Amino acid sequence: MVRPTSETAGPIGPRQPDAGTARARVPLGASGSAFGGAPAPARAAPGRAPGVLAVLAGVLVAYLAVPFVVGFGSLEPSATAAAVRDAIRAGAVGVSLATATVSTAAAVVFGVPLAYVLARGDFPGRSLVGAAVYLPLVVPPLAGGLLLLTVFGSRGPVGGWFDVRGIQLADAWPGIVLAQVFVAAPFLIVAAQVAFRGVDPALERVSYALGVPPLQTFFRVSLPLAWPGILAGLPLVWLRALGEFGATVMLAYHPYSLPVYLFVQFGAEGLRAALPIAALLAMLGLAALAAVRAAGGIGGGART
Amino acid sequence: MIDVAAACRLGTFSLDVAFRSECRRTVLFGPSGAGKTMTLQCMAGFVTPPRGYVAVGDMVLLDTARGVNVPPWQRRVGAVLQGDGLFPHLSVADNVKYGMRRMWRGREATRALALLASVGLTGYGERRPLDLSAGEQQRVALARALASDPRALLLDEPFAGVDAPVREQLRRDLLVLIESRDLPAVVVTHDFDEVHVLGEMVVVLVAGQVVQTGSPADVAGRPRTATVARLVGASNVLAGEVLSREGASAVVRAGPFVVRVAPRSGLAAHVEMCVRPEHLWLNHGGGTAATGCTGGGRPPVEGRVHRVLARRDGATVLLTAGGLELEAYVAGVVPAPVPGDAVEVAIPDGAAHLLEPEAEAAPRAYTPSERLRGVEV
Repeated sequence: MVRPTSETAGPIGPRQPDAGTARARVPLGASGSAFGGAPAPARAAPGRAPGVLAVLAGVLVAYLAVPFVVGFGSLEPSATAAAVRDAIRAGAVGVSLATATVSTAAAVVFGVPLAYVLARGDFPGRSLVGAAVYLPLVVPPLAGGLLLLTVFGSRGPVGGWFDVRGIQLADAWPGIVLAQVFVAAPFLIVAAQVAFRGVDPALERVSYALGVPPLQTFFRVSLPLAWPGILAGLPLVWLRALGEFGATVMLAYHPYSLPVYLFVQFGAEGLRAALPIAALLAMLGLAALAAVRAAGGIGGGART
Repeated sequence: MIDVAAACRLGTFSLDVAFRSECRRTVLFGPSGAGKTMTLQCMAGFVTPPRGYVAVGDMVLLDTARGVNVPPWQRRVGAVLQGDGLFPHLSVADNVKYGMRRMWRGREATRALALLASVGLTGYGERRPLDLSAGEQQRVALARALASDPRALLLDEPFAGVDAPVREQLRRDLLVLIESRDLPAVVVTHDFDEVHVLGEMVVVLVAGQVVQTGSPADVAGRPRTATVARLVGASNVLAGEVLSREGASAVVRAGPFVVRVAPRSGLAAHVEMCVRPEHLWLNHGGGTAATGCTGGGRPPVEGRVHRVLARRDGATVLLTAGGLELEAYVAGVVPAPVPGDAVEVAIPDGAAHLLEPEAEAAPRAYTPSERLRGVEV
């Protein structure tokens, strides 16, 4: 049984215009719209999440945001300024900014080729290499730091080699960078791998067919096309490096990076003294996100 | 000069092709899945067959017997394969400049503009590839390939996805480009119309094998096998039995039809022949029966129309006559029959062409194994 489409229309007969749609019979073209007047712009149906989901989502948003409001809301401007000055004087700000930047650069220099090899390469053991990338994420950073200590500590094979030549890796700037790269590099590799997978391999083939060898093709086609994706991953890598504590505190307690300084201040003088450092870290993080967003808007736009 | 032999397997598909062309325009023709693209990829170096030989001009690009395998970026065969897009991060002009060699340093911009003009895209240099239509993108891809100073052009379905009127224009432009540059071109297509327009020589590939080579007119008029016959539009393939053979002609009976054909050597008692739809003689009520067309004074056969497909300048008539399904083409102003009409059908002398059995149609003169053993043919 076919259901009538309206009260006035039979199962097969054409639908009769009722009073509301009678104007649809006005010939098209004269007035622009069959419905008379200028057609209104199309609008997507408004999306609305079901109530239960909205409540659950709201709880989490509140949980994520409230500590920032309560914690940073309790800061006193003068005391905070003094604490930040102390942190700068202790060198922690400079150390953190410099090491996080160096670590990010190192992750890019070594991680982008690795990501490309993983995205494109077809070699025995590819899946093993792919799994190795995730190893630093498998262990807690503290344990990772312990492992790094066995290699780069002054008694470790690499650390010892440098130690006898007068270069200290652990408990020095290089140690901080090593710890940060260990923990942050996987984020870069994953982001870059996704970006390279998004580059059509046919374009690389085109480049070869035009007489451009693979390495040049990488720099002229693959990397420029993947770059916006890699760039989008950079703030995550930089922030992960900036906030790195666990591995750093094992491998390089000194010189203080901001997270270690925060920990030390908290231990020595308590919450009031440590909170301004947390605020400072948050500000640096927001600034980095904003900076990369601005750069990405310009650089990414020009490239694609 | 193009000289290709390749034998390789990919999953269940096996490719075993060999052809040589002295013509400037060679077309690889065949149904989809015949191995046309794979052959082109072997030539461009993106697929390396375990046994193969590829030479373009006097340059040997692949010779597995001698361990020669020039990498793709040194082959410079001007390959424009399917799915090969423009570089989206570069302007149209930069796309064209991309593969220019060092000798053009300092003159890249002028040359890019000249090449764009030669494909009819004057003033497009600063545009972004994504803003172009499919046809325009194809033109840029062609200009980009030409800019790399290739020793040939390998084009895989160059006009796929382009609107019909634009395709016609593109074909013409391509012909002019190839002629004016004296570049040997190999074009892959599954459209026999394109073969007529572009090809001096056509290589027919079926199921990974070369079944026939020759000029487009030759292949269209004298397809070797039933498969080729259907591919080139000689869609009436009839099984018949040889009644008699006398010198320059044989008489074959297929169902109710008795046909005089040109024989070939090694004729068996049972044969297959093909008739192009436009060569089938058709008389439907009222139309003037063209006397003599039926040939040999044999009476026409009664048939019944069961479907009529309108064409641009005529109609394709599907009919049954004497238990055979036939396809006829009625050209021009004659009112086409309608389904259910009774018609008279005949196969005029010379309209039918004898086919070889499919099994016999393995590569004939020139096989990869011969080529790979170094046998000159």
